[in-house]
Amino acid sequence: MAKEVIIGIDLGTTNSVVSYMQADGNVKVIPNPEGRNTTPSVVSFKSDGEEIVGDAAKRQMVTNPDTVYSIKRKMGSDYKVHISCTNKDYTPQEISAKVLAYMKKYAEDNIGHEVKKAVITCPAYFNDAQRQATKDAGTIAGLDVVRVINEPTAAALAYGIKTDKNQNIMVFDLGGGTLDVSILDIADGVYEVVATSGDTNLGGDDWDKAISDFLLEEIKKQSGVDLSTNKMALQRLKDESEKAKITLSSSLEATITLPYIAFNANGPVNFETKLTRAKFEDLTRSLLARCEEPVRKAMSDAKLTFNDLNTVLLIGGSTRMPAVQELVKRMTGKQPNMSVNPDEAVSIGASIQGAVIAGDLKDIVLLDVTPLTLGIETLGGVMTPLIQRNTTIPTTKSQVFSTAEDNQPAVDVVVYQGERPMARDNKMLGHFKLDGIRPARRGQPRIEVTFSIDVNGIVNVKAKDLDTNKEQQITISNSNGLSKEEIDRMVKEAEANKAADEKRKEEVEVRNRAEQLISNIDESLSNAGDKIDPNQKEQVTKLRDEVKSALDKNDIEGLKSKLDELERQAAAAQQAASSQAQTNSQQDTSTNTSNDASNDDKNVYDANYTEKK
Amino acid sequence: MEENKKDIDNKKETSEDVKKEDVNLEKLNQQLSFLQSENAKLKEETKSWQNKYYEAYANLANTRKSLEKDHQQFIKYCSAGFIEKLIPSLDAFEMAFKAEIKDPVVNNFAMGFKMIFNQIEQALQEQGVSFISPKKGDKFDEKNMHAIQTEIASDEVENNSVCACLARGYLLHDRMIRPAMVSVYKKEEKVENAEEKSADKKDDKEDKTSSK
Repeated sequence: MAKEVIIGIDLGTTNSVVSYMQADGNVKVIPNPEGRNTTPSVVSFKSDGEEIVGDAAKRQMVTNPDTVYSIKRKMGSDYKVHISCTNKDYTPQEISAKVLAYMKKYAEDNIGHEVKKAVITCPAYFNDAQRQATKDAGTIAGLDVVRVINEPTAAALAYGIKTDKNQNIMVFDLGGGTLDVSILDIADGVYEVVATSGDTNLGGDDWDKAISDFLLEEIKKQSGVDLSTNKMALQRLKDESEKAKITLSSSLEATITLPYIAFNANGPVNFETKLTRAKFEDLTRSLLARCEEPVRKAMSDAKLTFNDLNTVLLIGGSTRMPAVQELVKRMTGKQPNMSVNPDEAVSIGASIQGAVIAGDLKDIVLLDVTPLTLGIETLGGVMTPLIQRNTTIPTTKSQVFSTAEDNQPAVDVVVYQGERPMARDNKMLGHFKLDGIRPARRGQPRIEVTFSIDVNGIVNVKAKDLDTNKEQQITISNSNGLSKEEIDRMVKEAEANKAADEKRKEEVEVRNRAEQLISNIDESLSNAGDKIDPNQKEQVTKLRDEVKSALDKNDIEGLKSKLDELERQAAAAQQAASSQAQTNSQQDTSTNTSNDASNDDKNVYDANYTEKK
Repeated sequence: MEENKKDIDNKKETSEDVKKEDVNLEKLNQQLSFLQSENAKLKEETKSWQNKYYEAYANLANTRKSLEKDHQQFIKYCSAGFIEKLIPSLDAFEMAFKAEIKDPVVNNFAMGFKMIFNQIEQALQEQGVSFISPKKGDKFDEKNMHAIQTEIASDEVENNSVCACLARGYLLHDRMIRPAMVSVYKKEEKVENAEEKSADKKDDKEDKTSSK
């Protein structure tokens, strides 16, 4: 019953990632047993025969010389690793196989069944021997490697770059330890790597080290202490440096705090400094400069100018640094695309390839979404949404509304599309009337409005009087007529006007509340007639008039405070009324009914006010 | 006789009619065949749509189960990120308390800070945090310890045992947030071997070290 899953593995020099495509076409990156999405490509051998992979292997590296890392650099060569504790030699593919086997196992635990097939990625510059070694590693790990694909191609797949248009793409991959720049030529439905260049010893770790070195110097300057041999202090410096680097990707300044970083003759040494983005970029200028040459070389090898490039993709965690993004933008003249998680993109692309091979993609039903919110206009000109934008269709949604006036004989259903809170700022799609509503107080009739969108985006709006069962409807077929630009514009406008719109909407709501209140008071007074106590009648009438005058003057703030005060009074009055009623009934069973009526008048403010209109 | 004539006439009419009927019959047969095959096709299609519908429903149910599972995990470990951010400060506290304070006034302050620190620990424990505090002599376990450095082991100590806990580790329920940072005893000859190994792999180690 379980569908055959082909996992996608990014077998990296420093870290590896595994993912797979789920039934609905979304790729899920699988977390390892420690809860992380990336697993260090580190393997360790212990004398008792135990083999450790990943984070645990990294943690004991210092104590165990039989720890192997960055084995990817040796794939496809005759190099062998000698492991003392087992007195055996291992080929690079055997070592890589252990990383793959570890990932296979935790992938299976997560997915819930056995995984047999995989797509594994490798650098575009890998030769046949290196690719074969990658495939062999998979086989040794118990996987049927259905394809070995190039990392930049996997990136292009993850970014959804289609092959229907001919184009040139640059993939700029700056990871933990290496920089790879590739140029892809997409033509006739095929991804072809036409040039690669890079720096095999440049990565995020170098940027961390620049900060660490700076801190060591500063600490020595300030306190005279040299921490370069203090492993624990160095570890703290390394952690703080990495944190600061990450902070500087989104802020212009990072504070590095290291209390009790050392002890000297004067006692504890506390160190704190602020590192600005400018200073950081200054410290790492030479590293950034090393990124430029591979970009130029790749372009010249591909015999292209920057104008010939259609898209630039960024891969690798280190591309999160603003300076790197700026560099790529400056050199290529293109805004680089970084919408896919740079640490996971390659694995995601491998999963997509796996799904294509498994034939899954043709089974996937690609459904549309409504690009903009759909709703109707309600009392006060407010837009009441029924179907939010980005809802997958087909879909149906109903809501019950009511009338705004007493004895209202019909309702106007006006359908709008857009994100603004006030209906008239949105696009009107259509309108119709439902009549024959039985005479009733405002808010009593129940009109059910149902929006349905079918798989083709055709909108049907129906209004049904739940009391008379009478209904009317319209069908709107041009609701998706807006272009992407127009949709984006409408969403942006809504954002820009958000504050002003919210204020206007609140005003309308306050007015509605006030009108409801006046209506309730008027009704209660006319019901009570002479039975109400004259003082109370005067009080209530005065209040009603105050509210009405504030309403007429459009004094929203005044109205709001009056309404809030009223609610408080009403609550108190209701309390008093109910305890009064209790006492009354206790004292005298033959209670004067008029007494109860006047008590009810006190409840007049507490009408069952609902949002129904 | 009239009847016979009528009969013959009838028969004449009928034979033409019969031809017409034959044609009609053939047409009807064709139509019937066509409708039968269409019906069969539609039945197949319906079955296929039905299956797809059930599969979509099942996928929805399974997705919801998977989301629930992820949600439960998320709720269980949602404070992990925050706790991780607190750890450098907690480490600093611990470091401060390790120091020997001679000045009685300063010591008093330090004692107060220790009490505050205990309160913070209490709050953490109530959240499900527990501490990994290996002691000297404990076996080094890479599952919850990170070896920062090695110390040469004398004969009295076990190889691969903990020399000192430089900073304790933190667990949130069963998930490790940060391993305990320790120094580990290594027997002298093994340390030498390690250096030889590094020499062997020196070229690669340089390769590896610079990139890690």
